[in-house]
Amino acid sequence: MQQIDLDLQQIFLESASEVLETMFFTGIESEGPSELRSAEFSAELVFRGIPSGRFGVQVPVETGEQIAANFLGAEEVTSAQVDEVLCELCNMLCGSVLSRLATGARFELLHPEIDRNNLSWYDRPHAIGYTFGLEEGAITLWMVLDQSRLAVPAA
Amino acid sequence: MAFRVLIVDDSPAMRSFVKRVLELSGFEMGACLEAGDGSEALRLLNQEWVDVILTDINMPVMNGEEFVQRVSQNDLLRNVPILVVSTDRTEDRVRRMMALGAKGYVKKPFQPEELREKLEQVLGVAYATN
Repeated sequence: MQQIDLDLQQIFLESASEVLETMFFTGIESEGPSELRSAEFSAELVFRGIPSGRFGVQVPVETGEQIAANFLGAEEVTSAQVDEVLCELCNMLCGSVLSRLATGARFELLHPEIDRNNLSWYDRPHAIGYTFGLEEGAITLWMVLDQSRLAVPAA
Repeated sequence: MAFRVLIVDDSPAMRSFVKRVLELSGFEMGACLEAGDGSEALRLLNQEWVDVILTDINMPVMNGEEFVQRVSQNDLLRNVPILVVSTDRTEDRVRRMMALGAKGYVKKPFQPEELREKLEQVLGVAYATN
C-alpha cells in the first residue's frame, strides 16, 4: 500500500493549469495566497471509491462569466450557462486532481451541483483549499478527503 | 465526405463545446445530433442514422456504460463506432468501456487535435487538414 501524496497545493496548481489552459482558454497567473472572501459561483461534487470525499470550485461572478464565455465561445452568457460550465469545470478538475493524487486510484464522480448557499470552503470541516490568480480573476479549489480511506493500492 | 455525428452528454455546455471543437478542428461534420443521456440517444438512433457517436459516461437515466452496451448488442447499430469522452481517467474504466464495445476513449481535458485524431481512428478514415 502507498499513501496518497497530500501535497495538494501543487496538485491543485497542476490540475487547474492543465484543465483551464486546455479547455477554458485561460491560465493560472499566480499562486498567490489570496483567498476568496465572497465566492459568487460555487460547484461541488462527491467522489466515491479509493479515495472518497468531496471536491469543489469557487469563483467570483466575473471570473465565472468569463470562463463560461471562453468555454462556450460566446460573448455573453446567462447565469444558467455559467452554472453548467462551472459544474463541468468542477468535474474535470476533480478527475484531474484524483488521478494525480494517487496513481491507480479507483473512484466514481457523482454529478456536480451548484451550491446555492455559496458556503465558503474554509467553513467546511477538514477542508483544504487554495486560491489561484487567473487572467480573469481568481479560482479556488478545495477538497475534503474521507480520512478513513486514504490508503490506496500500489500501482 | 461529411460525417453525421451524435453527441451524448447530460451537459448542454459540454455538448456545445464538443460541437464547436469539431467544427474548428477541421473535422468534416455534417449533421450534429445531440442527446442528454443514453435513453434519449437510443430513441434518436431509432429515427436517424449517424456515422459516429461520442458519449459521456456519467449521465442520469441511462449512463454511458449501459448505452454503449445497448448499441453494441443492437444488430442495426453495432457497426456505428463509439468514442467515449470522459473525465474518468482510470485504466479500469477505459478497459471496461472498450470491452463493452467502445472503439476509442478520450480523457477530459483534451486538445481539439486529440479529439479529431481519435475520431479519425474510430472512423478508420484520413482526411486533409486545413
